[in-house]
Amino acid sequence: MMRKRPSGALFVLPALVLLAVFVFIPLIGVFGLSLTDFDVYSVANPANLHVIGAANYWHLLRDRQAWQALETTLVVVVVGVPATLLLSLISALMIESIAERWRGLFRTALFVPVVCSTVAIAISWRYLLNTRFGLVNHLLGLLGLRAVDWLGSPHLAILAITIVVVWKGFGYGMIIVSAARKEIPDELYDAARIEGAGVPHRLLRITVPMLAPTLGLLALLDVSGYWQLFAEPYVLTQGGPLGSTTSLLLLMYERGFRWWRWGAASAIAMALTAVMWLFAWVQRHTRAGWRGD
Amino acid sequence: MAALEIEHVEKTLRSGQSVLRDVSFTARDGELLAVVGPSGCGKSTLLRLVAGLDSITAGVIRIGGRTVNEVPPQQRDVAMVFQNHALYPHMTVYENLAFGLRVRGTPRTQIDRRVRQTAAQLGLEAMLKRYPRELSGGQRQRTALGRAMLRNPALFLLDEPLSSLDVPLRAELRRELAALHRSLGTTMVYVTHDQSEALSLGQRMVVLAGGRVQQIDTPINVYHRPANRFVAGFVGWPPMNFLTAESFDDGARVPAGASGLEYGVRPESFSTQAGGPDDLQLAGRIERIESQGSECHIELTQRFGRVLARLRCEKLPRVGEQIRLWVRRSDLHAFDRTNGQRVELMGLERSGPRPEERTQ
Amino acid sequence: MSSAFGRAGAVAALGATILACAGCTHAPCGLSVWAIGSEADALERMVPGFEASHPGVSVCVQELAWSSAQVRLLSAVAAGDPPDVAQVGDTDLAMLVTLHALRPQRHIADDFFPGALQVTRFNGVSYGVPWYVDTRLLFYRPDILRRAGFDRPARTWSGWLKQMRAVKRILGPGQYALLAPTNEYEFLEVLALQEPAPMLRDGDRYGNFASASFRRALSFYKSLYEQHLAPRIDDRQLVNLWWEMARGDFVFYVSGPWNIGEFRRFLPPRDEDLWMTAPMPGPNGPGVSIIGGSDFVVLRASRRALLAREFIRYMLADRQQVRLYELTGDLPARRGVWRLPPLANDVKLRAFRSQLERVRPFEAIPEWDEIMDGMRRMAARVAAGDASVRGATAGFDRTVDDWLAKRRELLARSATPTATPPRGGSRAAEER
Repeated sequence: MMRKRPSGALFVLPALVLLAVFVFIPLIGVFGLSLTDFDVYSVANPANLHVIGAANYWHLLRDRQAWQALETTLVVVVVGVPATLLLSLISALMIESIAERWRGLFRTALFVPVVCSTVAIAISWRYLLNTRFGLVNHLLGLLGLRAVDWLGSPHLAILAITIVVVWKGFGYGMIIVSAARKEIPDELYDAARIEGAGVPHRLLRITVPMLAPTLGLLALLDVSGYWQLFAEPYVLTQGGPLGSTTSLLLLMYERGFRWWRWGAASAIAMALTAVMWLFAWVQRHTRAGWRGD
Repeated sequence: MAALEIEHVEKTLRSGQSVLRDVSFTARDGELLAVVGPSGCGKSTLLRLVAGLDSITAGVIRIGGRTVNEVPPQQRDVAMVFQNHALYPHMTVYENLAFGLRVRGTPRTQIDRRVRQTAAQLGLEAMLKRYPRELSGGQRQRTALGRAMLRNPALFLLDEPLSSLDVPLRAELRRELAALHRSLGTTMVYVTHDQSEALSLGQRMVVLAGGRVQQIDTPINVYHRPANRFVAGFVGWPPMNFLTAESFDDGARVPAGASGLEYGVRPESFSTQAGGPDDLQLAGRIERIESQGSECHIELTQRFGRVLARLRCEKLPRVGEQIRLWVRRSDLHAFDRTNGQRVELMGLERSGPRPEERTQ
Repeated sequence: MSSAFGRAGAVAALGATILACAGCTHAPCGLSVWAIGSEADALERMVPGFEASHPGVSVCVQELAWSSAQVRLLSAVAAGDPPDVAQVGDTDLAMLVTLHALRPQRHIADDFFPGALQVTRFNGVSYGVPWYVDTRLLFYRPDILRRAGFDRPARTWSGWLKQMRAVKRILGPGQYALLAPTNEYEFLEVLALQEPAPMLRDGDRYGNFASASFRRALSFYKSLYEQHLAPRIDDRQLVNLWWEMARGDFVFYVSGPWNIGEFRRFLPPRDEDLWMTAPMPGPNGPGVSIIGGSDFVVLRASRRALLAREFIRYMLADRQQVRLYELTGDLPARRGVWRLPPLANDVKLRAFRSQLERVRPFEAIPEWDEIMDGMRRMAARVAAGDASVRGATAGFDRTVDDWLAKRRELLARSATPTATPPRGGSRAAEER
C-alpha cells in the first residue's frame, strides 16, 4: 500500500488536472446532455431545451438501430480482439524464429499499418476488396474460388471491417508481445526442455501463461479501441449495407453531428462509456494471480 | 543411476571463441562430483552440454554407457537445478513439481502421490499451493531440487544451486544436499565457483580454468597436492603464499633450490615454534593481525613480499614487531616457474594421503 | 449535388483540407467565402474577376468537403465565427434557417427556376440565392434500347418497366437494365414525389409513408430488384460506372447533371453517342423529379452584408454562370443563361432543361435529411427482402413521428419552428 504523501499528490496533480479538463468535466457535461432533448431547435433557442430524464436511454433500449449497432460493435470486439491477440502472438513468435537480419524488415512491415492513417488504409482496402476488380477477389479467383461481394453483403461487410481492423491493429500487439517475450528467462525454457516439454508444451504452458498479463493488457486496449470502432466503417461502408456495419460510435456520430440530436447522441456516448468501465472493472478483478506483487 | 563420461569434449562458439578445450573426466555411478572454477571458466557451459541444451563441437559424452551426443535433453534422463531456480512463476509449487511428469503423460494419481512424497521429503507439504514468489529463498531452492528429484533421473546436474542464498542458509542446504545425495544415491554433478563448497561437498572435484581441466581428485588431494600453481592458489582460503627461496632464512636449505621453482606455503602450515630440525625458518615484521576468534590471520612483510599466516592467537607479538615462523619441509609445495606445474620434491614425506589420480 | 463518388473522395479530401488549412494564411479577408468541393475550385478561379472590379477587396475562399461541409458550417455558426458567404446544399438550408444563422435575401434576378427559388423560402422569406440547380433524370444507352426495339425511353412507369424487361433479355450475364445503388435515396425520393400524396402530413407533423402513394412508389422500387432489373449493389462497389455503362453493364441510370461532365471525362469522344439523357417517366406520363443544387447564403453574423450581396450578384451574372457550367458542369439556376452557348447547343442538356420545369420541392424542415436517410435504410431492407412494404412503411412512420415530436410540440406552442423570431445576439449582428 502506498502511504499518502503530499509530494506524491504534487506529482500526479498535472495528470489529474488534464484528466479533469479533458475527461471528467466533458463526461459530466455529456451525462447532463444525455438527460435533455438538446437538438437543433435548442441551439436556435435555449427555451426549446427540456430536461427529459432518462427518456433518451429508454428510447435507446427499444431502438432497432441501436441494438443492431451494439451487435455490430460486439461482433468486431468478440471476433476482432482474440484474432488480434492471436496474430500479435503468432507474429511476435514467428519473427523471433526467423534469421536476425530479416527481423527488422518483417517487424517494420507488420508494424506499418499501425502508424498509417486509418482513412488511407480504409481507402486502400476498399480497392483491395472491390467485388469485381479487387486484388482479394482476384486471388480467390486464382484459387478457383468464386468472387465475393465483400462490402455489399451484410455478413461479409462486417467480416471485412473486422479483417481491416485486425490487420491495422495487430502490429502494435506484436511489438508489445515481442518485448514481453524477451523478458521470459531462457532458463525456464531450458528447464522445461530437460523436463521433457516439447515445442507445443513450452508454448502453451510457459510462453502463453507468462505472456498472459501482457495479453490481458493488450486485450483491454484492443477492446477499448475496437469498442470505439468508427473510421473503418465510416470510410469503407458508411455503415451499410443495411446498417450492418454501423458501429455504436458511428451511430452516435450520425445522431450528433449529422442530425444534431445531441441528447440522443450523448445517451449513446454514456452507454459506450459505461460498458467500457464495466469491462475494465471485470478485467481488473480477473487478473491472473501470480503477478500480484 | 549411471556414470557420466566426458571424453575430449570441445566447445567452440559460432564466433570462434573456444570455451572448452579437450575436457575429459568421469563422474562415477552414484558419485557427487564437484566442478569448480572461477567465473568464465566454462563450467556452466559444460553442464549445458551434458544436459543437451547446447551441442558439443567435438568429443563424446556418455551417460550410463550410452553416447548422448545427438540425444535431445528430454531423452538424456538427466535433471537440472538452475542457479536462479528457474521455477515457473505462474505455477504453484505443486504444479512446478508436477510439470515434468505431466508433460510426459504420467497418470494423475501417480503424479499426485509422487509430488506429495517428494514434498514431504523436502518439508514442502505446507507450500504446495503457493506461488514461487511467496516462498523464501530456501523453499524455492528445495522446490527446484524437488522438481529435479521427482523424475528419478540417472544424473543430477546442479548449476550453482546455492549461490543465490545467504551464507547460513547456504551451509544448511549444503548439509541437506549431502544427506539427500546419500539417501538417493544418484550421480550428481555439482557446478560451483565456490572452492569451499566443492571441498566440503564433493567426493571428488574437477578444477576447471580457461576451458581446461586443471586437476581431478578428491578434495583432500586437491588441497594437499595441487597439480599446478593455479589450483594451489584457487583452492583453500586464505589462499596459499607463493615465495621464492630467498624468502627463507637459509635459502640454501630449501629443497632442490633451483632458481626455476616457486614455493607455496599454506597459511596454516606456519608455526611459531620449530617442530623439527629440518624445518625451514622465515622472519618478518607483523603488518596486521586479524582475529578470527580462536585463530588469527597474521600478515607480515618481508624483503621479498608479504606472507599470510594462520596461527593461534595466544602469545603473539604485537603489530610492528618481528616474528619468526617455521614450516615443515613436507608442507612446502614447489611449482615450475615456466609452466606452473607441480614439481615433486625428492625425498620428502607428504603429510596428506597419496594421490588417487594424476592430472593429465 | 454530391454524387456518392464525390462523397467517397470527399473523405480523402477532408484530410487534404485539414492539411491544406495548416498552410492557410490568416491575412485579413475582405470577404470570407466557404464553398464545397469542385465548386470551391471554380469559385477561386472566378474570384480574381470580382476582385478586379472591386479594388481593395480580397476574397478568401475556403474549400470544404461535401461529407463535412454542413457539420463545419453549423459548428462555425455555433462557435460564433462563421464566414460571410457560404455555399449551402438545398437540403441543408432548413437547419441553418432554424438556427437563425442566415440573413434574408431580397430579389437578385427574375429568371430563377421556380422550384429552385421555392426551396430557399421559409414562411415566405427567402434565405438563399440559387447558384446552380440539379435534378435527377434518366441516363441511358440509346443503342441498346434501339436493339431492344424502342426509339426513346418510355414516359410512364409501366412503359419503362416493359423496356427494362425487354432490354434485360438481350443483355449478357452480370448486366442489368438499371443501375440504382442501394445506398442512394434520391431515386426512391423521385419515385415518391411523383405520387400525389406527400411523404409528410398535417403540416409536416407526421410521417405519411404508409400512404398508398408511397407504398406504390416503394413497391415499384422493390420490384426492380426483385425482377433482377437492377443489381443490389451500392455505389462503392462501382469502380468506374462510366466505363461500366459504356460496356453495357447498365442501360438506365437515374442520376444528376454532373454525370454529363463525368461521361465526357471518362469516355473518349467517339463514345459520345453511347449515352443520352431523357426526362423521368412518371406513374401515368412524364414524371416530376426532385430539385436540388446549392445556394449562396449570407451569414447573419457577417458585417459585410453589402459586399456579400455584391459578390453573389457578380457570381450570378450570365458570364459567371456560364463559366461555372464550363468549369464544373453545374447547371445555372437562372433560366436566361440556358439560352447562351454552350448550354443552348448541348443536346444532352435538353432533358435537364425540361425536367427542371417539372420538379417538386422536398419538405424544407431540419429533419428532412434524417428522414431521407432513414427512408434509404428502410428501402434497402425492403429491397433485400428483409421486410414487407406494408410493415416497413408502417414502422417507418412511427420512427418519423418520433423524430418529429419536438417539431410538433413547438408548432403546438404556436411558434413555427423555422420562423421563430431571431434572438437578441444575432439581431444585434444584423443591425451593425
